[in-house]
Amino acid sequence: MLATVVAVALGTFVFHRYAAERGDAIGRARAEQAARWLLTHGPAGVDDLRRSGTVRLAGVAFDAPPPGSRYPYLRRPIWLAHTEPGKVEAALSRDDPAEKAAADALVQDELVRLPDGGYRAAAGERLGGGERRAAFVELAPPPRVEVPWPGLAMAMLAALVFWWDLARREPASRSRPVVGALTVSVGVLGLLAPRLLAVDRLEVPASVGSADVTGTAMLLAGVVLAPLALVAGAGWRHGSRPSPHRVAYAYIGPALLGLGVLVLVPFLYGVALAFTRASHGEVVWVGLSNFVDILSSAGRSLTEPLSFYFTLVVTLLWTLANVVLHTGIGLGLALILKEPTLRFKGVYRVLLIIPWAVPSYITALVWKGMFNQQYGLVNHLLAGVGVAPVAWFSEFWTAFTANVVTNTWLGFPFMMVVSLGALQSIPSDLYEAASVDGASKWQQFRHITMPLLRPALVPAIILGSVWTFNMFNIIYLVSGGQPNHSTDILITQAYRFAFEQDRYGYAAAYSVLIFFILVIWSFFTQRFTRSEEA
Amino acid sequence: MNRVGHRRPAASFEPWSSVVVRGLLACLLLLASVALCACNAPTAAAPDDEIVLWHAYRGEERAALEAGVAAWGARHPQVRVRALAVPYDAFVDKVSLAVPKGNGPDVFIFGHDRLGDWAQRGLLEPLGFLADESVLDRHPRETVEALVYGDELYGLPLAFKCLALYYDKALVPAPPVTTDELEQVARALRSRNPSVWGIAWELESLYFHAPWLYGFGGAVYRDDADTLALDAPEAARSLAFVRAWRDDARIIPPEVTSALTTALFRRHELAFVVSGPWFRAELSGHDGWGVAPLPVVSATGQPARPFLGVEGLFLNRRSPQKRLAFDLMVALTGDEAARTRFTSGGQLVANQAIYEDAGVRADAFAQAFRAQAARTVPLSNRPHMRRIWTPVKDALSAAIVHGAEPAGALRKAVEEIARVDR
Repeated sequence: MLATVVAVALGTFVFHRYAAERGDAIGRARAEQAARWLLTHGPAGVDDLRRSGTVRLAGVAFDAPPPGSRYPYLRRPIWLAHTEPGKVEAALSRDDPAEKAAADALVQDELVRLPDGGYRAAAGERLGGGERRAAFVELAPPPRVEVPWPGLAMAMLAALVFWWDLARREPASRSRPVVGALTVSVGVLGLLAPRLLAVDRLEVPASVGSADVTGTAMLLAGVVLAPLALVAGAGWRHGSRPSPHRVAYAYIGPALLGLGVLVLVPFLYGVALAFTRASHGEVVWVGLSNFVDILSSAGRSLTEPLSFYFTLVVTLLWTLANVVLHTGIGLGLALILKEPTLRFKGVYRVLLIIPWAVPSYITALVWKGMFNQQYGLVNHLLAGVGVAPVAWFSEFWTAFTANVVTNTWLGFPFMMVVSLGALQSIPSDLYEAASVDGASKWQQFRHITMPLLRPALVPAIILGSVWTFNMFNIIYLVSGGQPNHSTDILITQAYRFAFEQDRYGYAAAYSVLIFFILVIWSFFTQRFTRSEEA
Repeated sequence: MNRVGHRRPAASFEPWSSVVVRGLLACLLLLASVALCACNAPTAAAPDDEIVLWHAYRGEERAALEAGVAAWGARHPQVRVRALAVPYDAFVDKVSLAVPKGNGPDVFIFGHDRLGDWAQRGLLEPLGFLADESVLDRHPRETVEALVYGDELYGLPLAFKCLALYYDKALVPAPPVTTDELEQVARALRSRNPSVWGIAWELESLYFHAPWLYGFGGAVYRDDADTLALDAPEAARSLAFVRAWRDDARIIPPEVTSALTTALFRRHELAFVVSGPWFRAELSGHDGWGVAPLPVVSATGQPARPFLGVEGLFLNRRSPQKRLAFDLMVALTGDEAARTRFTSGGQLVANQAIYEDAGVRADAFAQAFRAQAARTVPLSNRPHMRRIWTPVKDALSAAIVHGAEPAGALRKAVEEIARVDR
C-alpha cells in the first residue's frame, strides 16, 4: 500500500513537471511568434491585433541615439503604436512602472513569463546607425497542456505489467522488486525519450526549446527514486505481511533521503547537462552529440594529446604506475618495519606517515617548486652527480615522472600502514614452523606472508586505484598537463573543459564517461574480490 | 489487523513503527512540495525602498566603497541601502543564478570580462536610456568602451587595471622607451653579473603576452564577429620576438612563476617585471622600484598595448528600482566617491578629474598607470573570449617555451577554438 502511495506521488510529481514545462514551451513559442509577426507588420499590425483580440497588449517602437551624441550607445525611445490609446505618451516618459517593462522590451529580444502564467515577448531588429525597431506582445496563459500520450501509454503499460506480476507471483518472490523497478523505469523513460533524443513533437521553434536542466534532473531523480521506492515498499511489506526488517528500513531512511538529495540529484543534474550545449547564452538540447564528439575524437587523431583515448591511456598508465609503486614501496617498508630487531621503530613509522598527513595541495606545490628547471632542488641534486639540468615539464615522460614521483610520495604511507597492520596479524608460529621445516626467507614470504596479506591488501589496492584514477590535485598542480595537455588525466581534462572553456555540457558528458569507466572497473574488482573470498 | 498483529515480533514495536512510517512519508511529501515550490513559485520582489549592492571587495577597498554608499544613503533617508560583500570565487555563480530568479541585487560590481555573458542572457539593464553625456564624460573613454557589448552600454566604470613595466631603480636608472633599449640594458646587466636577469612575466598567459601581440600590430579578434586574428603573421612575429628574448638574448629566466618573479625582483636579481597594480602589494619593504608605461616595440614603432580590465557597476535588469539604483551608480562612480576610493581604498579609479588633483599629480605610480591606460586595448567582453585562453596558452607554451614553430602553434590554437565553436 505504502509503495503504491509513494509511486503515485512520485508519478504525479514527474508528470506535473513534464506538463508544466511543455505548457511553458508552447506559451513561449506563441508569444515569440506573435512578436516576430508584429515586427514585420509594423504599426498597422498593432491595429490588426487589437481587432482580433488574440493578445492582451501589443506595441511597436523605435529607438535611436539622441541627435548629435558622442556616444552611439545612448538611447531615447519613440513609440509608434500601441494597442492601448494613451500608452505611447506614457511610455515616452518611462516613469510609469507598467510601461517601463514595455519600454524595456525595446532593448533586446526577451521572453518572460508573467506572474499570472501569461507571456511577454519582444522582438527587435537593427536598422543601422544605432537605430532599432522593436515590437512586443503580451499573451494570456495558454489554456491547457498537451498530454504526451505515447509516453503515458508506455507508463501505464509498465504499471499494468508490474501489478500483473505482483498478483501472479508468490508474495515472497525475490525477483519482484527488480521486475517492478525495471518496468517502471521503462515506462518513465518512455516519457523522457523524446527530450533525451532532442526530438520535439510539438512544432515549436528550436530557439524556444531551451533546456530546463533542473527539471530534467528532477525527472531523472523520479526515474531512479520511483523504482527505489517500490523496492523499499516491497521490503517494507513482506508480501501481505509486514517485513521483519522494518526497523532497519526506518533507520536507513533518513540517510537514504540525504544521499538522494545531496548525491543523487546533483549527479543526475550532471547527467542531464551532458545532453546540452550552451550556445549564444542559451542552453539547448543536443541529444547525444557531446558523447559522439568525445568518443569519435572529433577533429583530431586518436593519438593526439587532447583526444579522449590518448587521455584515457595516460590515465590508465598513471593509475598503474602509481598503484605498483605505492604498493611496492609501502609493502617493502612495512616488511622492514616489522623486523623485530629494528630499533626506534616508532620514530620511523611517524616519519614515514608524515607525507600522508600533509595536505596534498601543499605537497604538490612543494614538489612543483623542487622540479623547477633553474632553482629546483631536484636539478641541484642531479647537477651534483654531473647530470645537466632537466626541463621537467617540457617532455611528456619527464613531466609524467614528476607527477608519479609526487604522487608516490603521497601515496605509499597508506599502503604501508595497511600492510603493517595486516602483517602484525599474521601469527608468528607459522614462520617458526616454516623455519623448522627449512623454508627459506623467500619461501616464507611467498607462501605465508603473501596469501595472508592478500585479503587486506586487495581492497586497499582497489581503493587506491580509484583514488589515483581521479587524483586531480597532483596533475593539476604539478605538471598542469604540460606539455600541451599530454600529461592531463580524464578528470583534469573534464575540469578544463568546464571551468576554463565554459563547455559545461561537454565536460558533463566527459564526467559521465569517467563514471562508466569506474562502474566497469568496480564490477570487475567486485568479481575479483568475491573470488578472493571464496 | 489482528490476523497480522500476532505475527509481529514485539507489541511495543507498533507505535514506534507507525511514527516512523508517517515521518518518512511526511519527509517525502515535504521534499516533493519543496521541489515543486522551488521550481514554480514566483519569488517575491524586494521592498520598494531598499537598494542592495553586491561587491567582492575586501579590506580598504571595501571600506572606501561602503563610505561612498553611506554618503549616498545619507542623502536618501527614505531608502535602505545595503552593500553586501560576496566572496569573489562565488560571485559569478551567485549572480548568474540569483538574478534570473529575481533574487539578485539591484546593483553589483565585477570585472567587465563577464559582461557579454550576462548581457546576452538578459541579466543586465542597458544604460542607454538612463545615462546621459555628462555622466559618461567623467571617465576616460577607453574605460567606458570596455563596458559596451553589441551596441549597448551596460555599466559605469569604477576602476581599471592593466599591465605596466616595473623596474629596479638600483639596476636601471631610467626606464627604457623602446624594446631595443630595454634589451640593451638587460644584456649589459647580464654580462656584468650573470645571476641578474633582464625581464620576466607569465610567458604562457595571453593576458601577459597581449602587449607584444598588439605592439606588433596583431589582434585577438578580426572584427565584431568571433573571427580570430591570431593566425595572422603579426601574431606569430610577436611570439618569435619573445622567444628570441628568452632563448637568444637570454634575458628572460627560462622557467618563470609569479612567486619566482617576485623573489628575484626583491633580491635585485631582476631588472624589469611586466605586471599590474596588484604587484605593488608584493613589494612592501622593497625600496627603489619604479613603474613606467610599457615600451614601444622597435620593430613596428607601435607601443606595446596591454589589455584593459575595468571594474564596472552593473544594473540588474530585474531590479524593481532601476532609476533609484542608477542614481546610486552615478554617485558611486562620481568624482567625490572616486577620490575616497583612490586615497583610502588604493584603487586606480576610472575618473579623469582625480588624476588632475594636485596631490595625485606627484603620485608616480598612479600617473604611470593612468598613462598606460591610454595605451591599452579593452579586454574583449564577449563570452567567446572565455574559450580562447586555454588554447592560446597552449600555443604560447608550445612556441615560446617548448620550441614549436610560432605560426604553426597559433594556427593549431585557432583550429582548436574553431572546433569548440562548431
